[in-house]
Amino acid sequence: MLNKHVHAIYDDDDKLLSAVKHLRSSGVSIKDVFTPFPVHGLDHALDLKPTRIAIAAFIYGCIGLTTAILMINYIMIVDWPQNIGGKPSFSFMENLPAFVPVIFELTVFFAGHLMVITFYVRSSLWPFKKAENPIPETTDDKFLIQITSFKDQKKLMSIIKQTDYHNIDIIEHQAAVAESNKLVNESSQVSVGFVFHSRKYSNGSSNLRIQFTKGRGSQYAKNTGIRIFRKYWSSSKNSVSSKHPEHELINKKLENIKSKIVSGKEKFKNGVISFEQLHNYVLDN
Amino acid sequence: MGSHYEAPIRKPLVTGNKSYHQITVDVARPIEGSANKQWWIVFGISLTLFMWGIGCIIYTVSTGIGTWGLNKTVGWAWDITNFVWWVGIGHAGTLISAVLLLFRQKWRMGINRSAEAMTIFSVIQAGLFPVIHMGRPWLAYWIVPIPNTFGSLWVNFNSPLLWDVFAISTYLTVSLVFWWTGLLPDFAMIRDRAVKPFQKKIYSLVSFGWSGRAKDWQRFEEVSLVLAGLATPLVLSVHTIVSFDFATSVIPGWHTTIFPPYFVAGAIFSGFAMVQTLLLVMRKVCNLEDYITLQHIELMNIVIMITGSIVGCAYITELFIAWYSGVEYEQYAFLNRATGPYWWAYWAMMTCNVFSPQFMWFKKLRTSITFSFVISIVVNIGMWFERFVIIVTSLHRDYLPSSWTMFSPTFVDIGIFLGTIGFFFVLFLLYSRTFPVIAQAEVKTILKSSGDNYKQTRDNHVK
Repeated sequence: MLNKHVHAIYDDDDKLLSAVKHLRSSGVSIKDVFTPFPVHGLDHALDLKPTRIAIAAFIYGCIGLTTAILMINYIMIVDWPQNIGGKPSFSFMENLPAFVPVIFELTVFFAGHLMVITFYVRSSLWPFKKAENPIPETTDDKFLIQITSFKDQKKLMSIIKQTDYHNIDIIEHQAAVAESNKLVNESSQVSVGFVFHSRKYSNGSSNLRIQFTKGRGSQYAKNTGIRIFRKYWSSSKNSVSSKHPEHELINKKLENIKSKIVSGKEKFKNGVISFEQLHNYVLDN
Repeated sequence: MGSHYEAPIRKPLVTGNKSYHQITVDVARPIEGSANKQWWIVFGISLTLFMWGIGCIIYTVSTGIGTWGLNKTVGWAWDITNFVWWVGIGHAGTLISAVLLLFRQKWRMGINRSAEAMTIFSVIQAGLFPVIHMGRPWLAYWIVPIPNTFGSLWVNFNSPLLWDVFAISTYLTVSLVFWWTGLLPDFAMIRDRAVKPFQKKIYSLVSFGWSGRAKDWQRFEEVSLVLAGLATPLVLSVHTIVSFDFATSVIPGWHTTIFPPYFVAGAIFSGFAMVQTLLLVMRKVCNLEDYITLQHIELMNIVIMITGSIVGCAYITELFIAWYSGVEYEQYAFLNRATGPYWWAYWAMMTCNVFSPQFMWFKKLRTSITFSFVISIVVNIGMWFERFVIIVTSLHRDYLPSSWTMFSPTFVDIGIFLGTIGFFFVLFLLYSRTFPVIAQAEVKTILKSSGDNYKQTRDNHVK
């Protein structure tokens, strides 16, 4: 509940840049900034460390160069030297001019591809990756500053309000979690039903349990605390027959549980509780 | 406003009083709308050509290379002509996206996406020809250096044909990742606007979860810059190596040291002509006149004029060196080109490539859309003839007059060539309906410096 996010949204890159500078000089710690295009000077304003990806590319290029030299030397000089048009076939250095094109191409190949792969891995970009921009407009024309850690909300608001902002969103974390649970839970069916424990007590009675099933994957059962003979149970009505001496009391308990199942399912669907928490809710009395 | 200053003398690159959001809307419109009748007609024609080409390829592979017009004197003709032509066309894309990025030319941003798409699609066409010409394309993997359990030999690293394999495959794959990395923010824009679930799913998939964090952008810009730095020597090396296919041989008319720069200039020349052809149509069909402005067209025409003149210099240098060398075979090869049985091909090349771009010295002509379109087509034809002239006229009259002969293409030669044109347009038309054809994230970065409304406001302020 306490975990709140503040999203300060701007509609212009210059407004964003001066806001970032203002917020940072006022001691606000900025978690992230989402923009639709590279804003010139933003990395300096945020004090981002310069990226070292160009250095990585240089190293990858060196790896490509070495690989190419080793490969060609092995193939053309060591493993199977041939006389091709009288060119020197037993010396790498003397034959080098003819090898330059491939050595160059492989250097570029390694540097280019490995650098892009490094970029994708470091910025976690890959197919099926879910986008993480908080509002979709940040790929269009909105610029968003995300603030996740602050002490005094009022003070933060007053600082943000000094900037030329477009909108401020306060995201309560709980709600955010519920929202994401909702998406997951909506897609999975939950069924709840009564079953008996397979083990019988010495007198022939057994524990009445509730079985929770989600989709095809997960299932678990919990004891209701009711112990009866199976012959008193009516599975069509999900209640105890009137032949049981304490049927009124037990059925009252069961009615309570059944209503909890209905409301629990609803709560699960809305993402308020998870599947694993469902039994606590249903059997909590 | 200070950081967005641009000299008033520079013409605006984005017109029509745009805002950031308007750019988004304009770029997304062709994707979100549905295709019109003309699109379907052109697509239908292209697809038919493509299918016809596939038919001819199947015929070639199942019957043999004998279905082509090749003979024992002219062993290379349309196949390699088309290969070099397509590779050359591809070069403009990399030149626009990489070389112009290094030179900080802002006008590249309106056209780079489509030019890079053109690069990839045309290199695919180019790659088809050597594979088909192998006769047994299912053994194409023998060109990679694999351990020799297939026989006793490795591939030959002294051979320019193997250099081609490495050059073309590096070029294709590096261009592809360069293009795709630049596409991520734009795919993300389409994804975040999408309302249809299927569309959203597809664009989520292809945008790799791009979120536009400050750190991501920092890396993105660095990666673009380094890739541009790598792609620039790469693109020069590719056509250099293609020219080595000829220049390292001993055929008069081929073993010419001027070939590498001459081929590279020719490649840029033909590539820009193809970009011009494609974009003149696209800006109209997709309503992108505000992003691909007359200024862009004029600048591309200037590049065409300059590279055309370089190519012209190369033609004349070749003639001079042939005479100056004192080698009679060399002299005959060039005399035969200009006055022999293929004189019409030589003069078609000269007219299209050397004379026609000279019209672009006139401002009125180079700012005329119709004229630019005509010249772009003429240049494409001329550059095809250049390769034909170099390849066929150097071969058809070799050292032995008894084996002199002529080359004439069969319907299969023509069919495969038309098929690749069809394939190219099928890819490009699909691209223009599903991809953001303008690098909108990049265009947004220059809106405040080069947008007409912002420039106007600044001018008024100064006065």
